[in-house]
Amino acid sequence: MADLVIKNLHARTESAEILSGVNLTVRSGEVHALMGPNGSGKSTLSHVLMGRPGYTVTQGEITLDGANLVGLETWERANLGLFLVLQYPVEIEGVSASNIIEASQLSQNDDFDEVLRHVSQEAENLGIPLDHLDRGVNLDLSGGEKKRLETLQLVTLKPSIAVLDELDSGLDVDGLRVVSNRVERLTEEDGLGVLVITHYSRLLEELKPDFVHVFVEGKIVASGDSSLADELESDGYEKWTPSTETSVSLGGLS
Amino acid sequence: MYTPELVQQLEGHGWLMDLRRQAAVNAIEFSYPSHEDEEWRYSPIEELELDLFTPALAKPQSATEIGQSQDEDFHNVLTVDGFLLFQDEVSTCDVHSASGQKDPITFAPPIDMLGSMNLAFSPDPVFIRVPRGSKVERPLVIHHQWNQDGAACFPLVHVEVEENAEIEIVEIFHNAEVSSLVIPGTRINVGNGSNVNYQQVQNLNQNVWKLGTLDVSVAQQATFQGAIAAIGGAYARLKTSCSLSGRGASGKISAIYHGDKNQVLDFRTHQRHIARDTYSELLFKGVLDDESNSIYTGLIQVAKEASGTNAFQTNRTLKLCDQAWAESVPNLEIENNDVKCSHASTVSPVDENQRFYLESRGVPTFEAEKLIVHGFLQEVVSSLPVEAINIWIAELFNHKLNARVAHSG
Repeated sequence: MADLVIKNLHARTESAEILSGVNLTVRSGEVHALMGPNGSGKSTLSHVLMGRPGYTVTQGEITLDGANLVGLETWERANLGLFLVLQYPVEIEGVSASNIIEASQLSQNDDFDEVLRHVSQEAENLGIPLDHLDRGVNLDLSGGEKKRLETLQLVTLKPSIAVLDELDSGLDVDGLRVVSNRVERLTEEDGLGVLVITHYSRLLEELKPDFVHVFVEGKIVASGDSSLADELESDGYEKWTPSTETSVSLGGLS
Repeated sequence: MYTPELVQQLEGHGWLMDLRRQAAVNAIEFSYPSHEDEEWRYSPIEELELDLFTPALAKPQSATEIGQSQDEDFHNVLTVDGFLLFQDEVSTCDVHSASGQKDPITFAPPIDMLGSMNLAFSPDPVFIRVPRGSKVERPLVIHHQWNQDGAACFPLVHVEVEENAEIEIVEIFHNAEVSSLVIPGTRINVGNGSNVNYQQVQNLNQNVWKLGTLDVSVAQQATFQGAIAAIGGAYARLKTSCSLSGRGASGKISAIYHGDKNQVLDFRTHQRHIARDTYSELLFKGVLDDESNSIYTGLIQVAKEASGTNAFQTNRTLKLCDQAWAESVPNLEIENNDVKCSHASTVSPVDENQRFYLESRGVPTFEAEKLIVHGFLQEVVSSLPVEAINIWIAELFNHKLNARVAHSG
């Protein structure tokens, strides 16, 4: 059993506070959906969890299985079992997905031939042409192809907790189904814990969340079961966003 | 010290001695390079004290080991201190020292001091002639070595490829752990309809000053594909000129370089489009570590007569360290309207997003940088022109990359 525990997390960039007291626990096998309007800080949360340069944690803590992540390098967090699927996967010339899997500390204890067999098998399941594995990662791929390749790395590197930042963007209906079914299977068979960040409930029809959280202005303002996603789908975020006056006064404070 | 009288110590027939004396006179008359000249700008040339180096004019007694590629896949040639000491018998082309030749060879007159010194003091200009219609089956690998501390060496290679012929040529510069000056010159004339693939590997120790030139002329419907791999040297410079002098001629030149410590790697390129419908493509990519510097200045020149020219020029440098420094100056000089030309240059640090992405997959920071550098150079490495030695070159660069010391921050 693994758990990612986020307590009263505050984080900022040089110019502004983006996270204002996030509390959340993701355990093995659970699927948490984080939904919220544009600019509410959802992606920032994913970056802060993974330790992206440019953000400072000013308060609170992040632990994975009890180990404090704050202050660790990104790769050290990955080694402890945290994984991030980026909203916009980065293109790197001359560095293939196979190269990345081979260089990852997460595959160092495995027989690499076995890893490669596993990769080919999973690539086929995910509908990824094999040449996508050996060219510069994400180069000349469509948005959907990139997300399939992200999912392949997720499946191969076997983290305990994964943050999926808009896994659905760029994927067509078929792609969405293939990818979310595979992630769902990881939660069931391998006990992967998932925090999925999304705007839309379309993804959640495939990848069934156990918990849904509404994220507004840098923190979780409401949590519930999957019916909350349906509510958001029909009513939007208006109910959760501060009134204009409040926004102005918050703006004045910051 | 580098006087016309010095030439007397070299061997050669009358025509060559005359040529050398004239070149020695010219060398004195040409102005000494200064960083105020455009083509020496940014360089540390004024730190060079020629008189600290003694010209190597005596033939070495024995050859040292040939080096990396001594096997039957290649035709091997060895020069030591600029003297031709060894050459394989090659049935499909002629390789010999010009100093043993009675009949004159036409050498284009050098246009500057260093070119003149090269011609004046080269003890054995290596002359390679590929006869018309001939195809040299194996790459011809010329190893240049010099082993005397404090010596100045002047290796010269002249390649004459006649019509419809083919050859692959490799020049490898490597030397013992001595401090020295080398002023090499390579001239290649590619005849009508011929193909030449050329690779230069500069793997010197870091006490050597290298001031080299590579002059190529490509005739009608002929192609030249050249590449430079530069790793060593204290100050290592190569000035490359590729003249597309016949209609339909094509010249591609690429380079990879990796500097570290206090190295200065200097590249000057000139793509000269003289004839119609000519094509040139240049791609130089390098990485700089520690406090190393690189200089790239390149000129695409399209003559009035050269309509239908396609010319491209790209230089990209990746800085691994804040203290590293690169100059990159591409230039165009176009006198014809019917042309397609582009130039691009970038100098940038390792992309933070790429590093983050790799780290998020469990790749440690230092390894992530190595992957990025390796991938960055791959574009050039994967298309080097002499395939038989590509793996060896890739290994040289991997070795240097793996020897990197992690920097904090």
